[in-house]
Amino acid sequence: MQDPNPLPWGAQDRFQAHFIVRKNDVENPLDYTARTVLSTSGHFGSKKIIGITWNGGKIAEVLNSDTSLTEMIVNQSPNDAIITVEPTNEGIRIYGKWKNSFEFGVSEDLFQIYDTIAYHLKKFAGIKISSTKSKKLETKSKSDKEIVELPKIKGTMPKGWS
Amino acid sequence: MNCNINWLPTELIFILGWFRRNGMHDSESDTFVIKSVPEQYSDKLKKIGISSSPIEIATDEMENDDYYSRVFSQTTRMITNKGCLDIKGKNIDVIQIIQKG
Repeated sequence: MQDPNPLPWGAQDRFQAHFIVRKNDVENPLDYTARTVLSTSGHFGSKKIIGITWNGGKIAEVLNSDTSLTEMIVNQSPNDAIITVEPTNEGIRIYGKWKNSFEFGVSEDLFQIYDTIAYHLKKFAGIKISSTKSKKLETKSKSDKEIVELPKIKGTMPKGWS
Repeated sequence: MNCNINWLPTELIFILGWFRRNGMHDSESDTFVIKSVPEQYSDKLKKIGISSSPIEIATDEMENDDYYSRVFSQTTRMITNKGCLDIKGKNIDVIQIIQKG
């Protein structure tokens, strides 16, 4: 028979993965602290995210300015969209909510979100950024620029060009 | 039961209540490899194309660190460290897995 008054201690079926950027002795820990605040519509199963904002220190401003990151988070489930960034003595930790052993895992999109946050953290802290990632982001920003600059190029075309 | 039932279709054997040829009602293997939580997580990461390697438990400096800064209220107090994973070619340096309680 199951104990009607179970003891409150012992490991539970709740897991969490901390995605860590190594950094010793963060000078101002509050600058590296941030958490998402969700705007949602609907309730329970039909609950959807309309928008998110980062609330916290200086890093929150950096993360708020990245619109592509915001878009990626908006497409996640309300549970996955709650992301916290906070520094400890040995590194800066990025993590979501607790999950049970069946749900515990990470999707490609969610990993991409965590990696982008890590990119911003490294940039903000002045840590060397992973070459493959920085190249990817550089090319992305370059292509964005190209799209923006297209009308200017059209304007410089010779007369009679159509 | 010693009778030879190999000639019967599997579905019929199931309806009759006899054992299937592999001894189980589903296709689950009888043997399995015991893996630690970081090893299981590493397999999940491999499926989404991220290469990682589990580190031996209690060898990384992250594991001796505080798991939360306590800036936010209501963070868990009792936590069990399950180990770390080293990530290659990404901005995330290491993943630590923890369990509540």
